[in-house]
Amino acid sequence: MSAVALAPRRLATAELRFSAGRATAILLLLACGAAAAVLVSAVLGEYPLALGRALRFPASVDATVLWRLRVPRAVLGALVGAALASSGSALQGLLKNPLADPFILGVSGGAALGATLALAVGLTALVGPSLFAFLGSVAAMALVLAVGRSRRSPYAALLTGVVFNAFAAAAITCIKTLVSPDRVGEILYWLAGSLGYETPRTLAGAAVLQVACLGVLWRQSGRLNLLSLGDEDAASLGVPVQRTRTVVLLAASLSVAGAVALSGLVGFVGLIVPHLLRLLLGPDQRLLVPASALAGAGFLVLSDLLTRLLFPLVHAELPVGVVTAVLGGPLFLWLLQRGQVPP
Amino acid sequence: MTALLSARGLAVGYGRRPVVSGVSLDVGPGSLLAVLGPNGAGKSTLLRTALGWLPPLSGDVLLFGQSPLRWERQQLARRVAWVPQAFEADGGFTGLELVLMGRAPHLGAWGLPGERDLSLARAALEELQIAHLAGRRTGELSGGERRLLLLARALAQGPELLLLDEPTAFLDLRHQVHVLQRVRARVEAGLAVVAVLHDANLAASVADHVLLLRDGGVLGHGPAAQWLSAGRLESLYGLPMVEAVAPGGARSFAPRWRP
Repeated sequence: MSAVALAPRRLATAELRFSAGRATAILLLLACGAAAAVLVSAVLGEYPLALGRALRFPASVDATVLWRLRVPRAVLGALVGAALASSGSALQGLLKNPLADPFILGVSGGAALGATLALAVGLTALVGPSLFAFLGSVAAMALVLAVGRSRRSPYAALLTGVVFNAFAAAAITCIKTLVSPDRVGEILYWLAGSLGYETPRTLAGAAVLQVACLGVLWRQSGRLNLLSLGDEDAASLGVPVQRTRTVVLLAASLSVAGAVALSGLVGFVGLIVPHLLRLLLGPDQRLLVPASALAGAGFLVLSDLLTRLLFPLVHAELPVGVVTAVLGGPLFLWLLQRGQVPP
Repeated sequence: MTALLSARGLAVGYGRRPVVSGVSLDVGPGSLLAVLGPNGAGKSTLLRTALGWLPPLSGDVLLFGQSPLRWERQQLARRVAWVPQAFEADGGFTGLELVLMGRAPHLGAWGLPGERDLSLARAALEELQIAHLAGRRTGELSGGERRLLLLARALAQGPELLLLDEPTAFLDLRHQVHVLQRVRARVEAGLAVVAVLHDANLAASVADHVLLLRDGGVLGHGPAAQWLSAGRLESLYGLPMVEAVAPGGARSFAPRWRP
């Protein structure tokens, strides 16, 4: 008697890959991976931390390093990575464009322009560039949504975003030539994307924002599958196309704006993580959106750990965006060359 | 007869310019209306307007007694299915996954299928003799195979009204006949169908009524047996036609041309 006949009837087969059971198993596995990344990142670093001592003696140096420095930074990395990768997955599906990186909708240009303006004028002495980056990206997002809504094509939003980013880059170059060289250094470091120290209150606020946005994206993920067939086809299957598109764009952009405000522009996470997972798990957004969030969290936390471990070698802390680009760029080209990234 | 789809003095088109106007029709349960006409006569535009994706430029169109623009999308999708001319699929989904998407309007936002949805999808694949496509990626399939999957999806959707935009395009002869046979069987069971067709012979064998569109207007509308003739088709396509009666009694049409 064959094994097939003995096996209990399961919904997931090669023909139908999405089932609650398979999704749960994969997400649990990825969650364990992300948790392990956070743990490793909390233990390793320039200061040799003894986890046992840190946990047993709350007053020790080890405990201070663990709870005040390493854990907040790992949590920050996890939040930013989750936000960028899940938004990247949703936007690639929504815009039907494999190159749609979460920054493409004008968010990067808006954030950079907002922060640069604030740094140049000297406003950042009070609250830091984050708030202005957030405001800039929200303003850019509003512009892209307003222009994109008036046309019925997903490409309108994409083109508006690309044009806005180009405009913002020109404006930033203009500002950089006008301000003093040390301010330019500050701006450049910020733009390259880096994780630093954030207060527990900021982290809690960011976590609430990211969980809410991820929840919205995950809830819409079934409709994102249908939208991949085309707007009219999706509408004929009951999808309220305009509303779904607006909700997804809004949630993804807010999530990315929140991430950019905390870390600057960390590239490649939103591009490489969804593509890798798509390759492994198939095109179903119901699985890709949450899986990207967990894998993106793990990937960014480990990339940040690498910047810290490289510190003794390069005598400076590389921006984490440099590490993700150095790791992600060649990997992406390799995938593309093997024809594994869908055109 | 209660009309599921009806139109009165309808003008359809993009922007303000009508592509075709003066369309009046009623499609009731258990009947098949074939829409024929040259390219650009407004056949697909008429279907799009009936589905509420384009507002009527003038006149009225009603789906189940209500303007298609006012229907809530998911409610409507439980009753009307549409087979588009082509689809831009993300080729990563399998045939079964694509057909199961037809069950989406009957499910929650997440579209998690139950056993019944799965068996409806498999039955639709069987019915169109394409069960072997269930595990194939749609990106690897031919145009005709994708077409058959879209038709299977529409059958799995379980609609009361089915709108087909050139359902036989890209299909080989056997599949053309088989698909229309299956559609006709559903019509006998009470389904209402509007099908845009280019093949007058297929239209003659499956349609109850025909709507002939040409030059921005309606050339004719009525019972297929009466309105499909060599003379009408000549004026429809601007091409000399001949009509022959096969030994079985079926009429067939062919263009009269010399190389």
